[in-house]
Amino acid sequence: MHPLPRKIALPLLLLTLARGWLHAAEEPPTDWIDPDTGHRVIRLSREPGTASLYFNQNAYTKDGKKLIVTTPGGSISAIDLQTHEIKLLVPGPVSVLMTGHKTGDIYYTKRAARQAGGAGDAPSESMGGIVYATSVDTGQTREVVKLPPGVNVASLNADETMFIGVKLPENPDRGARAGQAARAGADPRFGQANYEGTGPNGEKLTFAQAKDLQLHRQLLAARAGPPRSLFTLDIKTGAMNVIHSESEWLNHLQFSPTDPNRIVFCHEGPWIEVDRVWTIRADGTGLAKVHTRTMNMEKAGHEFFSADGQTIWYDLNTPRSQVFWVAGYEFATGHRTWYQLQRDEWSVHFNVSPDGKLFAGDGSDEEMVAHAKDAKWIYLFRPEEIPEMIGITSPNSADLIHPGFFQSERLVNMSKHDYRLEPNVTFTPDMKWIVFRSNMHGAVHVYAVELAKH
Amino acid sequence: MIPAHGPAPAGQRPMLLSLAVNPFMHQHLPKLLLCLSMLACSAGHAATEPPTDWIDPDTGHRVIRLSREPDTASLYFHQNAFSPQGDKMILTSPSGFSVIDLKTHEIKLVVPGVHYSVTGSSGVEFGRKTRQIFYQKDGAIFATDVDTLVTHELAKLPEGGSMSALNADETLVVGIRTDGPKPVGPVGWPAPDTVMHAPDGRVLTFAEMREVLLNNRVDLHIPMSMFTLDLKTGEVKTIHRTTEWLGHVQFSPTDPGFVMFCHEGPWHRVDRIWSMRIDGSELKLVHKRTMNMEIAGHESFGADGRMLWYDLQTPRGQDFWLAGYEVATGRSVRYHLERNEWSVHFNSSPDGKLFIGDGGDNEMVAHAPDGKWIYLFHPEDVPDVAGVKAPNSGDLIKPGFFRSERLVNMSAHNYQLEPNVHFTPDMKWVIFRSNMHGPVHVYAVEVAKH
Repeated sequence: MHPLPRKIALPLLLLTLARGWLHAAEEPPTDWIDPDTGHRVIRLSREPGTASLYFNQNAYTKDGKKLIVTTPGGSISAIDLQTHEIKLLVPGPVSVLMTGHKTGDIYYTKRAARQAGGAGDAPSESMGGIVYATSVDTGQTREVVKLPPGVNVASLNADETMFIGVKLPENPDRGARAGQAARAGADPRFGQANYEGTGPNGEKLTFAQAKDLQLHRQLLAARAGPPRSLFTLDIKTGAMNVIHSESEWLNHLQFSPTDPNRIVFCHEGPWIEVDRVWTIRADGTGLAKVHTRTMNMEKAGHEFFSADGQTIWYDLNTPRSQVFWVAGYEFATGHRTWYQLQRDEWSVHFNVSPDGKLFAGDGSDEEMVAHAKDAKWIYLFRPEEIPEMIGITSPNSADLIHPGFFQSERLVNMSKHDYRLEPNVTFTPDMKWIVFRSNMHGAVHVYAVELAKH
Repeated sequence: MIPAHGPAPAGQRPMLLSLAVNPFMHQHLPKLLLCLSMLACSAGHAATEPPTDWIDPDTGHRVIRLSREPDTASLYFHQNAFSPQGDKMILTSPSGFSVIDLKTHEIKLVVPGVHYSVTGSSGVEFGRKTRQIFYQKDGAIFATDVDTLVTHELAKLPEGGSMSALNADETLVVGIRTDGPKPVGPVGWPAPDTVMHAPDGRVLTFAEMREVLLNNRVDLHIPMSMFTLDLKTGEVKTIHRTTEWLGHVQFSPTDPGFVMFCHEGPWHRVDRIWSMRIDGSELKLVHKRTMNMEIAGHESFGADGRMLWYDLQTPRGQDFWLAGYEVATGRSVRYHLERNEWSVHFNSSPDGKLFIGDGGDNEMVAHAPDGKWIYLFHPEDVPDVAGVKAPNSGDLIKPGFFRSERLVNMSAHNYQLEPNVHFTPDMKWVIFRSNMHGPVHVYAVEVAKH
């Protein structure tokens, strides 16, 4: 449930942290063995306010040796995963997109500075920006494409030939304005607004409830407003091609890491209210819903590609707060796999290892969807199949959802972490570490936990 | 139904009242007393005579033994066992069919000499209109008035046909018939001392042997049919033909023309639960499996006939529900359960507001480490978040979950006999059968805590 594009929210977060909004009273540890899990944890960042990227943004270089992070002031640095050397690559403020799957270069958007006295909720997109790419090894920067005013892009395809973005209506509807206002109101501590509100009976809503209510209002406005469009932007020609339009809150655009023409996007809103996960080809054909909810209060979201691009995985609750799954849909075959989790294992984001054999989760706190009493952990998950029974199978078993469950292992005790900042786990390319961001020691830092037990 | 004024009704066990403070004595004194009065029972039985009335120390609920003759059983969970007035319940025993008065506990043998297996699930039911029990005997349907014991032979069953259920207005019996060659050897239940092996040589558990036997039977695809038998005219009508293995035909408790039935077999292999009007129209699959190893079964009607309830697992042995299907609309609800709460049979209360389950052992489908309990379930809805709803929420499955309360510790029970819980019509007691003290007996546990 991450309504705010991280490329807006995180720089704000970092900028403010640089001003000393949060001050670490003491320097957090750099290397320790978690006494509750036996796993080694190291702090990769030195500057307070350094953050790893959102869980589905590609943040690793092609050789797998470097990790891209954002630092205060909206700058981009690269951390060498072997030497832990940190190098400033791009001085801010910029909005990071991702590393390219082909070149390994880091892509980001840079805009003209906002004019003093400008309207507080004016979309920053209206300034017109330029997408650049910088080589992580040489530091060399090239201009990739100029964005027309009012246009922003979200993801780069596998062969680095096009971007995808959402085009809002000429006159932003109420929903779009509310979204901009929410972004502008992001709390620098958490990278999202500090949602507050009261329920129908005047009771104070929790952060999570208030967030859902806000998303609901934005969704209704989006549905009442003019259509929004998905477009591709050709890097060579600069041509924008609208591939899909509808009056839905389109968000979380992702290109496949391997298929240059495969796109996954979502209908944003409270997950119990929308059939969220969709896919489309870059030429606008093949629009298909990935998951249709069949149960009231069922929810699906936080979708992400497998490293081979064959499968889209997502968080599934049937229903919300009761029964927990990581669900996968294979594009080529339509084959579905659902791995069940226990309440305390539910995580706000999941991720899958480069070889597709392991999963990770960043846990959650008691206010979040699972209302778990003991879920503030970074998790490693080993998927297990539900065994066929003594050779007796259903005649149509190939057409059915393939079920399994996760064997979980706790990696990091996150009891000191404030989950309004989401840790966002990623596997390192060598599969030896899991990277996450945390405020467990006050300021936001980037950490890595070793998969092997110490 | 059962006197609520104390654990030892006056006149029956006078010494117990003064000694009941000692838990050991409370447990064992009935045995001692019964052994002292050995004139009334054989020496062999006296040593193992089970208690008649106790408070389960683990649950705080009062349990009463209703039966006296060893190997007396209550009916299968979806058979109607109660008189329309709610005062009498059918018991089966080696002596025949009896009825027990739920107030006085008086047991009256009403059909002597009928043989009925404790694994049976059909062939006898209480009428829903009159005070007669209806049953199959010698190829015919009989009715016996439980007060006067007046007995009538009503109609002959067709050749090879057996009685499944009686309809709500007592005009029809529904039954099934095997039209092809009958299967040879054990079907569904392994013969005593059977040992079977998995393809890898491992010895199969009892539950696994059952699955293999069921699967072998499905593979035979023997032609079967479902028929109605008019109890006034004796007319037999075939209403459905199939090569699926028909089983568990149940009449609605309120609609005399509506049946539910199943395709027997390993539940993860078949789409099991179907409904139909008895003229053969409106044949409907009640639950379509969408997941490999998903299972649905042990279906039963709610008391008002509005809902069908069934055990649902998505998938088998992993995620547990009691699912409900509204006959009129096709809408469904699902109440989620934890592994230890899964029960081999569920049942719903006469007012539809509470549910019960008979638990399960660690060999059974849930492989529950601590599932040997009789359970009471309070259904809860999954609440909205801040009033936000999906626009099509009315068309979606309505989810909920069960809050459970343990009624009886069944740790001494061998689950190869399934306890088969029923609510009494007054909803104050839950009836089940158990071998927890050796021979099979019928027990009642009080819903209210002692």
